[in-house]
Amino acid sequence: MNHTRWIQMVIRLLPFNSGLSLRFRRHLEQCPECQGELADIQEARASTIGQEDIGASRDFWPAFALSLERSRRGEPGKGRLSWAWAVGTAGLLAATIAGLFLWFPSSPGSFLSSGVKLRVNYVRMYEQPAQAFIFQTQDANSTFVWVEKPKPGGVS
Amino acid sequence: MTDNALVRRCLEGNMESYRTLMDRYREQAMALALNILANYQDAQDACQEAFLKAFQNLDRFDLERNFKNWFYALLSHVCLDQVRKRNRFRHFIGRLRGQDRLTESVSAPNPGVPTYQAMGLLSRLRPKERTAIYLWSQEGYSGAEIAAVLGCSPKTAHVHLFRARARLKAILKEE
Repeated sequence: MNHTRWIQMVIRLLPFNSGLSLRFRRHLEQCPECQGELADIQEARASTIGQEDIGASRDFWPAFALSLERSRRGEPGKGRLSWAWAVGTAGLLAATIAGLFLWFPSSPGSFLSSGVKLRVNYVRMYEQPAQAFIFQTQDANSTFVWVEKPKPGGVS
Repeated sequence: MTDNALVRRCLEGNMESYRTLMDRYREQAMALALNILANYQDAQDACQEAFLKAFQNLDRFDLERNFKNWFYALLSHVCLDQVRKRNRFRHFIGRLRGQDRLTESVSAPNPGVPTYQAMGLLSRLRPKERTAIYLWSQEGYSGAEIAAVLGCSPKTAHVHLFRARARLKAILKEE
């Protein structure tokens, strides 16, 4: 890593208002080696587009007055449109969730595990309360019993 | 008349005073926007949007502050937002074409739209670096003033500026 990059990294690490940071920044402005690595103000000015390069730019007033008139007349702007979309989407989402709950009146747990045929709530496992589930496969030839410790906050 | 006096009159309902402010800053605004966006038409759109936003938020402007710096902060925010949108679009188009990223085109040849030699050079710097180097070299802004425009800490502004100067020097050496 060259000298100038090292100084810049130190500046980045130090708090801006510290005396050491100020000394390093001054160093960048005075050290000939660092100056050789940084474009000076003349070079920067020649490499950027200045006000004098632009000449007479467009008068923004007519378009500005038109936009202002539109917003006064209450025509929907971009912002309003996006708000309308946000409210509409939120409403649709809420209606969908409510519909799901109405369509599936059983608890979400039983909805998610639709394969459950029977649930036993009062089983103890290693002297701890546990939950038991009996699953029957679709061909009805196999039955599985699953016992597990109740999860904190789970359906009891 | 000072900028803040014009703002005060505008808040009292005098639209002509806002027009005076716009006339006062339209060239400088175009220069800043062009340096960030490196595209004349995008710069015009950004200036238009920034002048409108400034007017709509004029009641929030603190009359103890410098109007120019406040407006520049707003304009640079609009420009940087436009750069982000443009990059997202480029990335999307690049993926459609089966490339991860498209190379940045500075400005499409468009008759009647002015192009500047500096645009090619500026496009090799990052947008915040372009903002910092323009404000420093053309407007004589200090690190703290650049920080106020970019909405970052003075230290970060200095880092942007040093990086821009180092990158610019490297490009100039290459050429």
